[in-house]
Amino acid sequence: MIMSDFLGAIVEHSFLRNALIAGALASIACGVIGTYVVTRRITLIAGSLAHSVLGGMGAAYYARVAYGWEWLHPLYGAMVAAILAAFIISVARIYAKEREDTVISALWAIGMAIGIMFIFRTPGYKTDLMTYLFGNIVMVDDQAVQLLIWLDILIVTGGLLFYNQLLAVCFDEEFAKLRGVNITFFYTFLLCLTALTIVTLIYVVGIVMVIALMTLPVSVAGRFSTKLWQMMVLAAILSTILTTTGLAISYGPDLPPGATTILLAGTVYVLVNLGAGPLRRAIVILIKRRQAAG
Amino acid sequence: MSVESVISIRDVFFSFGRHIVLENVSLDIEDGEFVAVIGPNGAGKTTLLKLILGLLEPQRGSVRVFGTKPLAARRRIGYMPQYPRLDYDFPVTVGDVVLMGRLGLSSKLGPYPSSDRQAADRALEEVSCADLRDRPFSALSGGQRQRVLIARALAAEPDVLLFDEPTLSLDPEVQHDLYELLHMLNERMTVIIVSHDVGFVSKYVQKIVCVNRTVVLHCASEINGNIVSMLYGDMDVRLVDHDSRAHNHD
Repeated sequence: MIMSDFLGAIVEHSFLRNALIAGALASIACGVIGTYVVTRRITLIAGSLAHSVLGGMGAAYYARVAYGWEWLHPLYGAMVAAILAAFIISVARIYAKEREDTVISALWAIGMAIGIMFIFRTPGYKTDLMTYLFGNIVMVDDQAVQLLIWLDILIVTGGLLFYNQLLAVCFDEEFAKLRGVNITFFYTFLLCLTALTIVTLIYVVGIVMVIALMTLPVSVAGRFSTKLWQMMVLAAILSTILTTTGLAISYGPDLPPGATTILLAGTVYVLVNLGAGPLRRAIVILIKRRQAAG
Repeated sequence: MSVESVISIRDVFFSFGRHIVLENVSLDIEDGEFVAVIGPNGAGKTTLLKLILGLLEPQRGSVRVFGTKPLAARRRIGYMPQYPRLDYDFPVTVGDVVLMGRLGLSSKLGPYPSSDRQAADRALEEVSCADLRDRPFSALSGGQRQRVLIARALAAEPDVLLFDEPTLSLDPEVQHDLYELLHMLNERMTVIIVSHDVGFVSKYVQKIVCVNRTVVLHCASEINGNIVSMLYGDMDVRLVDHDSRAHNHD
């Protein structure tokens, strides 16, 4: 019954259609780039990038209200902040070496502080802060959908065109370096793509929960994949299912869609990880029995 | 100093801060040689390899590979590290791993061309692992993994193979097969291995480089029977001896 209500609402309300499109677009970007992030083990860097994005969003939001710059969508601010943060982390890796994590943590908190400062100094209502932090997928306007489409094209093209290099950098950086791959370039490139992917996720789950959607579906997909591209495809499909289901479940009882989606993703992640061991053992036993019988 | 030297090291000095790792190191490795680099732990073997690869720069002296700077010659070297820092849960097949050896040789964008795939298949055949191509890399045994990584290095069609502690954590039978494989590869390329396993090595190699802050060369023929076990047993003592300018190699 809830499902049919939801389906009816999709036909009726354009904001729900926008929400579904935004969820699917974010899921595709997440599947491709999240796979690199998880296998390269830079999920904490992704977390730092996500939070520092608030600085740019807050600044754009402030300028939009205070100076009347209507064209300045907060997502533009988010993009600039995300790319800037990606470059800072990349530079820190080259020059700060083992102090890299300090830079990552500092960026995390300072970015948020800047954002909160701007949002509190913005005249008028401040309901948008909650949207940025915890996501509100039904807030996606047409301008945002257009931007998300372009971002998706950029991210997926970048992520797939350099698949071989990124795979090598994620799998064995030293070897890639010795084969003449410019690993500093590709690492920075990967961080930039990660930063842009985070921007696509802001409305879906909010910056606080971005890492969960970026890593949980990917990690589940990884259990069923023997190739990186399989992991990408599976993760994108699973992520689309999760965001859509999250939205559908939250719509009736009026739950926060971002948090609902994350809890759903978390449940799948835990179940698959708990079930994977016993399942694998069961399969092995079955195969052995069959071999013994044959 | 001949022009064709694969590797030519002159008066190299290298230190990590105040800790001197290598000093007065001079060494020539010629085309087609099978060379073993031996020495106790912390003697500077891996540092020597990294200087050859251009991953480290000497503070003094020069390192030339194929007559140029190591960085420029890097693509002609197939290198296998001592402990490849690999994630063995990484979703990647054996074929994909070997194809990585083709990076930097052909087109930069999009999928690998069929010529790269053929080169990767040839490399896998050479290490007798053609049947493993579609297997997940994570499902291999230690010996298979080693062979696949050799295939990855071979796919790059190198002129010299650099191998850091190839026999570490392999059982004796697999070790033997590995040396036979390296011996076969030595017919068309220079092979340099770092090893503590002198006994096995001396059967195949022509030249032994003893490293302990500085290097001393031996012909493999000098090292036979009892001497091997003596050297192996008292390696530290003997190599410290070498350090005190007992040998001169100019």
